[in-house]
Amino acid sequence: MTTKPIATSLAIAAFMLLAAAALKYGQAHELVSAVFVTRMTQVGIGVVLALYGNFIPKNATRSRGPACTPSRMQSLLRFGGWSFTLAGLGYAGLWAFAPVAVANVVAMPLVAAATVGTAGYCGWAAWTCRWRPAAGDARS
Amino acid sequence: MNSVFKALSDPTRRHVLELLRKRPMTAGDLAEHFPVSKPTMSAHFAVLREANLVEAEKSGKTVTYSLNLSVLEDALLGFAGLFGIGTPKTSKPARAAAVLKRRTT
Repeated sequence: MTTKPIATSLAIAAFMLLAAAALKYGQAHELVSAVFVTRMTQVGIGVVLALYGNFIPKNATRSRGPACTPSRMQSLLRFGGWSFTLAGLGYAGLWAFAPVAVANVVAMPLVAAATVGTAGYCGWAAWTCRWRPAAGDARS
Repeated sequence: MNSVFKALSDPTRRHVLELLRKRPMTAGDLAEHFPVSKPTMSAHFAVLREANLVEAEKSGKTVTYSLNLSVLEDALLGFAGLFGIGTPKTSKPARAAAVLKRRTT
């Protein structure tokens, strides 16, 4: 079960390294500008973040925290998945289309907001699960 | 991906996934929401399991299903529901009859 996600992650890592090397080569030989290299690198980071966010609710389903009931854990994973996917797409979109000055200011806070939001939701879910299990949970 | 589209094309299976969005449920609890036989529901569960959209956990005689959707699959479920993909289209007289029946009951 674990070999497929590892293989996918290794393939993504290899692609990122190859893309970085190609961009560096292109910049060294003046085929592409420095701004283009920065934009493409950031777009790649955003797309990878969106990809990982996409699979958060799917792959992390089995790693249920001891303090959380299944319904809370499920909603937490969905919230985290959607947050990181949308943040990743927003990050990539900003670096692809917005002026560099705007992308520099707006893109990172977008990801930070998703991280803080998910961490906050996680903390809230763990805290409430500790004292009061969600109504109607099928399993404990 | 083909199995995912196949699973999401049926309104009953989409309704199952929407119920599971709220919380994990047992097969019996889910079946109570649908006016179909248990073998039919089992077939629907099998399609969902095959597409890896739900996760089944067996404890004794009870099978508990929980959601196993990626964000993309979740969005596809939303779109399929929004546009009513797979929902049988009723004719005007059939719709009028259904409205009349609702009013009389």
